[in-house]
Amino acid sequence: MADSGAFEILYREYYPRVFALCRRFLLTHECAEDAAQETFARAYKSFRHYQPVRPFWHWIATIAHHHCLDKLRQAGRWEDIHAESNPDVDRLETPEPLVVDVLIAAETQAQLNAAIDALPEKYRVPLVLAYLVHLSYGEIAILLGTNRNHVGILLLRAKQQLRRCLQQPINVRALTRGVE
Amino acid sequence: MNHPTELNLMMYAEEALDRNPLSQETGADEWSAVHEHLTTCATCRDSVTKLRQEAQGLSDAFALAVVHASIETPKSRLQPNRRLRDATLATIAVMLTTALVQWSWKALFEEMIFSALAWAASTWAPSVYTLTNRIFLFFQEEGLDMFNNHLALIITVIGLLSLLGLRSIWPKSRAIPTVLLTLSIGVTMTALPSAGQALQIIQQEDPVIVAASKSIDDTLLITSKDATVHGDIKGSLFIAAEDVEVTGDISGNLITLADNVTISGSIGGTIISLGDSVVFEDAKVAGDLWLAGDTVKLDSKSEIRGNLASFGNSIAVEAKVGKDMLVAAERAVLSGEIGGDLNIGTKHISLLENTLVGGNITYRTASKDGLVLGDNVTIRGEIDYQGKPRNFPARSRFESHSFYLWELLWFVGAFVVGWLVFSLTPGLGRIELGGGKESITTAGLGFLVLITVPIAAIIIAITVVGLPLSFITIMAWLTAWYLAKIVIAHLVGRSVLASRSDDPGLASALFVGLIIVTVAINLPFLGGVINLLATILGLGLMVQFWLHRRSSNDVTVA
Repeated sequence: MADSGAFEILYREYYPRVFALCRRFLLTHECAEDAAQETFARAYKSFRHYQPVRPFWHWIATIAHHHCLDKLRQAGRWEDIHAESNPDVDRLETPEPLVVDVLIAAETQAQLNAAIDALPEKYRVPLVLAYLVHLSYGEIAILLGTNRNHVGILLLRAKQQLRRCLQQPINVRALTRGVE
Repeated sequence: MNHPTELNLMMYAEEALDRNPLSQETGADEWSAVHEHLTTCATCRDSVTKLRQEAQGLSDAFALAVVHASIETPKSRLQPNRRLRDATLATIAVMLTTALVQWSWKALFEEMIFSALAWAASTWAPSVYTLTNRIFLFFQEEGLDMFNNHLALIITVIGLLSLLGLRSIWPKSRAIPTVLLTLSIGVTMTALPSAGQALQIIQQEDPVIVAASKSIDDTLLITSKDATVHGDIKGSLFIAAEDVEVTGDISGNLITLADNVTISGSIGGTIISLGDSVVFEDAKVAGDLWLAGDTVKLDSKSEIRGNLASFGNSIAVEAKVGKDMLVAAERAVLSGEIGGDLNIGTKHISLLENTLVGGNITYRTASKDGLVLGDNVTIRGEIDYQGKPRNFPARSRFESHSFYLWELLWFVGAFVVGWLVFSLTPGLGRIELGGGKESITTAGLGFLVLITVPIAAIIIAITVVGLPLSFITIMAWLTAWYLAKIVIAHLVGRSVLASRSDDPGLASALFVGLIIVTVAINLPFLGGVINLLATILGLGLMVQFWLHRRSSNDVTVA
């Protein structure tokens, strides 16, 4: 069990990031808040297992994404990621990647968030794990119960959808969400 | 020209293609193929650059979204639960502590300790057959109560452990803690004594007087300058004061710690009295008497139904003692009646006229004539003179055969125990004594353990946790003490044999080391110092080994 005072400091510092991570997985504010609180409760309980040589963010992010994946599975929202098959790879389109300036521009930030939220779980989850939690392809593959190549396919699909969404007007994007 | 797929380019850009040629997932062929292709294809090189930028851009965008998100940190949900839990546990702890103090007074002092004293008194050093018989009778009469009290203690400890368990799992679920809480409180309350066994405490500077008209139904504890108890106490009485006078009736036990003690009431239980002067005047005592004082005097009207044990400078007993009497004093003058045996060690002993001793007299004085018998003294048993009171001239222990026998037994025992211990715990056989500073640390640690553990055991015994834990602590400490020299002997043996062999073997190292240590600790003048040094170094090494092993286990678990 952690020292309550010290843990309170960690809680205040890391809560926004944990919340943001959970929000990326679970989409709604309420679910994300519950998940973030549960993450800190689990961290508090198992704080003796935390090794200070490892950044605290990595440790608590691991707890958070495990919990979020469990929640998705429990809610039946976890789609069959194995539906993506290798033969499709060769037929993938190769549109131009988005340039960095576009991705981090303030005016496109809201659009990017909306586009990420619009992604199906099977694309959004590996995307968040790769670029927010910074897990390697191998680590994501273990977590999702698949192989590294398949993770690559899921990420590529996610990026392609993001590219399409960010290059389309808002109303069209809303329509395409239901198609996915 | 065949370009690689976007998937391959992306995985190459993000270093996700395995370069290990044994990999069956992606294989080195893909990475090498992409790599070689990029050296000749400017379009794909450009794509890889853009894909890298896209990945970096996504990471930055995610990070930026977190930074820009105006998330108000809500109050941690841990805090209220924790506070509620702490408050609940604190309440339970206070309740348990209060109840345990009340219980321990009854169970530890009145039942366990006094029962133990009663047992010791009832088995007063006669023959083996009588001793066995008395032990059997004692346990038949008193054993159930002692067992119940120890059982109650064990149950209480289990209850407390349940609470600790409750504390660790509290946040996980609601049902299990509730069941555990109910169980732990239930067993604890079952173990506690009835409410009638209360305790009153009077603590003040001014003299305390309990008037004759007053009757107290509880056990009473008085600490003051002077204490006078004329009233009746329907429980036990404990007094710590300068002057103590007890004239009332005490149904339980009486313990006094004072300069001057005068007792003239009726005491239902045992009396333990320590003071400069302890005087009994017309006192009736149903139990035993344990007295220690400069002057101890019991007048002819006093009557003791149990045993009397007295230690002091001068003792005068005119009272009637129902059972045995043990006296160790400079001067003893006895009269009245002694129902059992008289065992006495003193410089001068006088049995005045009309003294009656129902059993044997065993005495130690400077000479056989040290026992002076008055007229009409009746002794129904035998008189046994056992020589001078333990001031025999010192004789060299090396002249005694038993010394060599005991040392040989110690050697054999240490060898067998050491062989078993080092076989079962090979790590202990590899410990080394470090350099100067480390050796001092080890010795300091060993000295600390040697001194503090028995003190801690005594504190445990007289406080809440109780005798069983104290007994276990003392046993562990004695075992460690015994093993300390064996550990050092093995270390010495290894060091001596190291010049002959890299791995001298357990039996050889132990044998050689034990010979050296046995001789060293028996050297004249230096032996004691070497013995102490070996003991504290051995203890220190074992504690360090244990701590190191524990920390290693923690790391493994973590």
